[in-house]
Amino acid sequence: MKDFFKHNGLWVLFAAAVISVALATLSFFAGASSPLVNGLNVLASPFRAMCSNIADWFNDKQNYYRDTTALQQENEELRRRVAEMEEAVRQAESDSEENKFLRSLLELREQRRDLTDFETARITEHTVTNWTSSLTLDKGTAQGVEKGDCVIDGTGALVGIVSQTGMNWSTVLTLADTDTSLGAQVFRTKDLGLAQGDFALMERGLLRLDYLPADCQLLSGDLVVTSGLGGYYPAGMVIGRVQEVLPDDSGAASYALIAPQTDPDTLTEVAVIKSFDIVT
Amino acid sequence: MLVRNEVLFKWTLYALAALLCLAVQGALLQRITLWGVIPFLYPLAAVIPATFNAPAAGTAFALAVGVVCDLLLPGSLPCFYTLTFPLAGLGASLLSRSLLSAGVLCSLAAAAMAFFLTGSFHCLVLWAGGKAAWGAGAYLTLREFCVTAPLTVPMTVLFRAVAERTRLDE
Repeated sequence: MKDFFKHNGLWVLFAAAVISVALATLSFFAGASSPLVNGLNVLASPFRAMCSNIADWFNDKQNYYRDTTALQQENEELRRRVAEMEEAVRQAESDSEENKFLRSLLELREQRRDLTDFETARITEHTVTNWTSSLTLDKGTAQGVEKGDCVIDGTGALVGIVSQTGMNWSTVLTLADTDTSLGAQVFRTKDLGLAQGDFALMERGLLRLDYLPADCQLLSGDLVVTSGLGGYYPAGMVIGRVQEVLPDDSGAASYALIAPQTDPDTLTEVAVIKSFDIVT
Repeated sequence: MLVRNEVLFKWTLYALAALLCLAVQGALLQRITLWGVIPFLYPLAAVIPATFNAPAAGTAFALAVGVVCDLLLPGSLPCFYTLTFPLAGLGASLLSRSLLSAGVLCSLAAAAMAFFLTGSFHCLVLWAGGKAAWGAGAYLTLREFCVTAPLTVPMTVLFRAVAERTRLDE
């Protein structure tokens, strides 16, 4: 081979140059590509298409990944913003509710100058046993809540009496509980009586008005308020309305069924009356 | 394991199981009302462990559950459950020793007894306070028992597992 090129190298170079010039001339003067170029390109075309397809596929994947990552990030960001907005709406609703409650309490404070100190509290738990009717509040001795304090709703209606206190909690026995007993007065007739819980009525959320005068003329719907006698509780707090007047077991006297003005089961916020002036 | 450690381990497991029941009561059952009453697990937590134990141990455990109940629940008498649960625990333990072997049926009978005792005592307290309500009290006790009775099955399974686990170590 070495000898072949040594002896015929010049001829080979010359032949190659002639072929090159011929091909170049042919390409220059011909309208289409030369048969050799054409043949080579025909052979290369499928490979070129395959390479192009592979490159496109990689580009697609890359774009898809980039787009998906961006969308995921955007989605995450949107979710976070929605959660923040929902939290803000919840907070606003809670604030609005609290604001409404405080406004009504402010009105009550203006109407009732004898109620000197309030503490608003949230109800953390409703009745916990079937034998009592109670509420648990999130305020206790640390906020100045004491046993025997009256608990009212936003309208000033009596909810119950604080029966037990801890540092940051207190238990309230509602008006319907069997241990609740307070001096009451019928607003229209000024008749005095004792409003007390009755076990048989507790489930219905009612209480009794006992020790009524023999000649009392109660009507269904009469408003019953606290009498304030003895100075244990403020006078004039709304207990509820007379639902029915019934004769007692002896038949000689009568008692009234009272439907409390407020339903403790529907309350979420209350106010504890920490101090009040005794009105004579 | 030393005998003292075994005893400690056994009652710690019982206490943890009872604590789980109290958590279920506080977090879930207290918010459910069926037939007008809340399912009440505390008497079951006092008597079911007693059915798997000797009378003295069962009574002592029921007493501890009673003390916890009195600390957690509002009531007319500050020691209401401390007085009633040991009696129920003793009765449950004696029941499992003499009439029925510890199991779901025994737990059910012990639960009925515990509800009867607590209901009667509630009515007695109301009567003593001049607010007798025997009929309403009996009806409430019946509903309380009926609503809580199905829960004796999972509670028996739980306390049986504790009893078997502690028996293996003996």
